[in-house]
Amino acid sequence: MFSDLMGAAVLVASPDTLLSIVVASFFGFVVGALPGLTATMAVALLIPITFLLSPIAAIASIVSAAAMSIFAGDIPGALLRIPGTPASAAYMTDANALVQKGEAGFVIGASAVFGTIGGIIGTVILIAASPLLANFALTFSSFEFFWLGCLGLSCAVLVAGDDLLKGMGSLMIGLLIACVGMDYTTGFPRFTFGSWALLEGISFIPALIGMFALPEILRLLSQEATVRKLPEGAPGSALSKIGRAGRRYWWPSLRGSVMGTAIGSLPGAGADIAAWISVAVTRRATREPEKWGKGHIEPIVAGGSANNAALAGAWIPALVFAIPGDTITAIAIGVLYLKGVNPGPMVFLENGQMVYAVFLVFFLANLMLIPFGWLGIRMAGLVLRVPTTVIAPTLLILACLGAFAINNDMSGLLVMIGLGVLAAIMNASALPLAPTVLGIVMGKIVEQNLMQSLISTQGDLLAFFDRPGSAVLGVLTLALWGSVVVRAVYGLLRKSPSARRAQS
Amino acid sequence: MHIHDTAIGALLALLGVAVIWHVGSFPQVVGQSYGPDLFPRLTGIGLVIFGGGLVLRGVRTAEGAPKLLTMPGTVTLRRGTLAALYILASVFAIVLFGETVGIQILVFVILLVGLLAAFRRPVMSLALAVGLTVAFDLIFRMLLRVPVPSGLLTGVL
Repeated sequence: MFSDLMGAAVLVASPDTLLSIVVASFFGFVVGALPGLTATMAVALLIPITFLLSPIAAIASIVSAAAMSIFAGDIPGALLRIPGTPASAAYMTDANALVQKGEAGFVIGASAVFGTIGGIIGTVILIAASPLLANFALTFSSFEFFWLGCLGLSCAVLVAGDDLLKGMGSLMIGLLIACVGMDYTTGFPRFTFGSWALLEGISFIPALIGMFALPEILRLLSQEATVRKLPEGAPGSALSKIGRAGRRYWWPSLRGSVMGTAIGSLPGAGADIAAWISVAVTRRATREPEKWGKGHIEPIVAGGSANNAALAGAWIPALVFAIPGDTITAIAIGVLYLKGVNPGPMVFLENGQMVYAVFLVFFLANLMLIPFGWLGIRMAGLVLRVPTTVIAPTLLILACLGAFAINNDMSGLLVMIGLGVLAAIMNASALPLAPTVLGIVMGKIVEQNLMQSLISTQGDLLAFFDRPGSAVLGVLTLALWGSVVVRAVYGLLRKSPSARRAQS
Repeated sequence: MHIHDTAIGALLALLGVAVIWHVGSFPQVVGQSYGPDLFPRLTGIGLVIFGGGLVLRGVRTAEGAPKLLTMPGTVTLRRGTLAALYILASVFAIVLFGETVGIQILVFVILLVGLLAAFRRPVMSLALAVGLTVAFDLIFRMLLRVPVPSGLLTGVL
């Protein structure tokens, strides 16, 4: 093992690998910071370049670009309320509220530092527990995935705030949007209205741009022209505030990192779901619920740690069983095969040096977040000094080009405008947007696993509790739903009509 | 603008009813108890339940007939309407004329109109519109290799 580790260190220390890490990190930073362009797109755009690199430099560039673009996705979310990646939407409200209080440096710095911590904890778990976690994930069938999806949907109640009815109504809208497209079991087109572009369903990124960017652009354009003069943040440097946040919220960061790694290791569940679930669980457990939504660092700590940890988690099944945890590892597996490295249980024996080199690259790629986080802070000052009159039309173009780029056709723009109108109506009705996003992300996963399970058991609902894993997850889900219903009914009975009037 | 709980609840419930009615026409799979209608039907039922709940709550909390829609003042409404029209016109211009006219020309026009309307400094707006159009083209078409249609400028670029 020691000789493998030394060999790996030599591989990673080679100039081409180090240069690949720096260049790919910069590339990932640019792509991630542009709304609509995802970490997957950053990695996909790198493929032609990886052909020219050595195997470890190729993997290093993929890991670095992915880690950096996931972090950089937080920057437009925090500064402009336009999430760069779906993961950053989970804690964007608080991040933007903090920026409005003059804490842009603190938010971006915290995002980089806790992203690094999450990534490093995820890598340590990747090294220590690869075979164990991959085995666990492999025992999951559609029943377990269905219940896991239902648990994920339950997070809608947690992220929606106090209003259960509006939260659930908003979730249903998201689930309905997820139904658009060809049915999973029969291929029957649902809610497509004869449009071929909708057969594959609603594209997630244009939907996200429409829901978050367009209402913000409308708000900016509707206001009097101003140069935003943000208040001075609370005294103290961003670094010392990050240190204080680290001491105060070490547990949400650790929990987010471990949860992110575990969720990332489940096939099909990536950084996006990890961030949403981590933020929802932290919101449930927080001791300061009154601060949430008004510019609180805790969700950024929990979500930022989880999404970068999930990136490492996705490599567990990828390396050990050649099963991709997400689209990024699917691309990485392809590149590994192309380079003559066959991932799977034997890779640890046949190519030990390569495996350890991948682990080392993970450490380096995550450490790169810190200097690029500093660059992000410098950039933030520039972006925030631009007058809103210049920002709004520029954002509109950025949103349009981002929506076009995801499928390279105009259908993305139509999805964007449709969802933008929906979001404007929801904003006017005070319906929260977060549960809708969760419904769009999780809807397909839940439905596919539900239908697969029902078909395999000929509609026997008791089979959902037959397997030990699915029984535990099922009981947990039903108990959670039961407690929410009991709490809602209790609250309804307890509140006097006058109190309800006051709240309304 | 504010939409009352009763109004949005009624809209959600109506949407739910429409979904349940529409999925009734979906084909059933022979030999299977559940078909492509199951999940959307459950979602429709959810919309009816939670939309209905919002209507009930809205009616109970409002004293007398609830005001379903509260509009902002005239100035805010005018600005908001113009802003919404600018966004809609820009997006549909790209969708309808992006292939024939070219994204670069449309981006320039959209930026120029938006900047002139809000910034009100013609020379500065023109310079910014040109600079931003070039920057967007460099980033998306050249650096990221997004195949944005160039339309009339195909031979030039």
